[in-house]
Amino acid sequence: MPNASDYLAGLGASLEGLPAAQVAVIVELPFGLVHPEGAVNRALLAEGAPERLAPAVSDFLEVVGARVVPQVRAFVEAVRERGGTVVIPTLGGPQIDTALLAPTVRSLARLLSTDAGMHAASVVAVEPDDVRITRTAVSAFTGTPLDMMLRSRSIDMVITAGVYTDGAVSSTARDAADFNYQSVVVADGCAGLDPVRHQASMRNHERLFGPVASVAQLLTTITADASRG
Amino acid sequence: MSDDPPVPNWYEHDGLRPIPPWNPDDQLDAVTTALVVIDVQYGNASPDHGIGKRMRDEGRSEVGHERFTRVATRVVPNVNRLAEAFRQRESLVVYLTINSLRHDFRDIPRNRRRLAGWRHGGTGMTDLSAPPKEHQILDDLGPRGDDVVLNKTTIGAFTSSNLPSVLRSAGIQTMVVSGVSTNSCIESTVRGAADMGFRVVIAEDACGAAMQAFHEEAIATMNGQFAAVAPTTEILAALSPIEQLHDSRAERGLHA
Repeated sequence: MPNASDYLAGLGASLEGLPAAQVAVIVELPFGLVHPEGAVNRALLAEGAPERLAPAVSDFLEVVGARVVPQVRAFVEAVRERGGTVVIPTLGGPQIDTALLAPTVRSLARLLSTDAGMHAASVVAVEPDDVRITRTAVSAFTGTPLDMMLRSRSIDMVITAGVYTDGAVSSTARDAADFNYQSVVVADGCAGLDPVRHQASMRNHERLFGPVASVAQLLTTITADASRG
Repeated sequence: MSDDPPVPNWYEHDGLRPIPPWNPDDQLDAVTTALVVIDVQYGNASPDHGIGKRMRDEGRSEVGHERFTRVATRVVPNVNRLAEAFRQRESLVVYLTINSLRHDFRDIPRNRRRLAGWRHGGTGMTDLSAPPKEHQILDDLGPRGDDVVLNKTTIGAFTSSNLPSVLRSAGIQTMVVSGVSTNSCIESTVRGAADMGFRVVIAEDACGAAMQAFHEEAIATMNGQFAAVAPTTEILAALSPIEQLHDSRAERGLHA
């Protein structure tokens, strides 16, 4: 019987080493989706929500708290130190008019906006040199100046990390590949509510769009900007 | 502010699923709905050309069995049923293709170059007047008459073709999506369409992928998050009846 590896053979792209100045990391870690007290997780576990969601949410929060958030935080710090670009897209906020957003994110934006903007914030603290994007759709590229901002910095590799793997991460990483960036997804820096869809998105990425690499692999691939220090 | 349903409903359809699930009572307005048929070309949808030929030459035809069986038994007949109904209503039918326009694949993104070589026998489509067999849409499938054919150079149609302009110009609000591959070009195109505000209905039994598992996982990912998913028979039943179309077009100032 054929299996998925027959299709992977020969197609997976290899990771090409690059100076950090040509690397951008897109961090998809909004408080409302990844914190146990975040608006989405509270809604998923609220009275009246389908009970079958509880185990999935619990597993998701475990993976995110123990692995995804610490790994991505450490990676983002290292990329900043080496002179790379960090992109933090946000969705929602107290002033947001959801009618101006794509229908794919309207209800989520409303939910993320319910707690005085707190839940729209990233759990990775924004630094002054970071690129901040106000998201309008699931893909961070759609309806934002992200592509132009990356091109103006001569970025060649776009690394996407965060949640949900089959939502924002996949849409953004697919677009990055279509725009001819070396599109990388962080193996130990992503999570989804549904493990099957998470795995399917990771496999699709590796097979069709670009490398899936761990934080450790990426740190050996991205070299410090020679002009710094 | 918008008049969307209130927040507490958003998680009802299995988590973050903002798009209402398909309801067999749903209606599809034939004037504002387009059929989009994605990448059913000899290079990736025939056991005798492109990827299929390569697999056969390497002695591993069984790897392509699920894909080519699905194309022959589901995709081709169901796309034809849909396309015939859309043409009868003078609705928009768009066929997408994927190909490089250069021998060296320089015009397509780097992640696609190796696969493009497999699909097209090591060359792109440099002569538009006589495209290689691998580029052509399966003869059984179309295009016919006024159908629109657009080439794209990326996996998603919204990043490299003028599909958005064609759909807008034609007043399209809803896309019925079919073709191959569900987890690849279909999923990227559906994600792009939904983010651009189009309503998307996936004709599940008119789509296929390299493996049935890839297809099913992609359908589960898109359903409710980016699109509604429906069987061809129910989409056909939901299309405006032909006898109503003359008045409908006249009311909208369109050529009847």
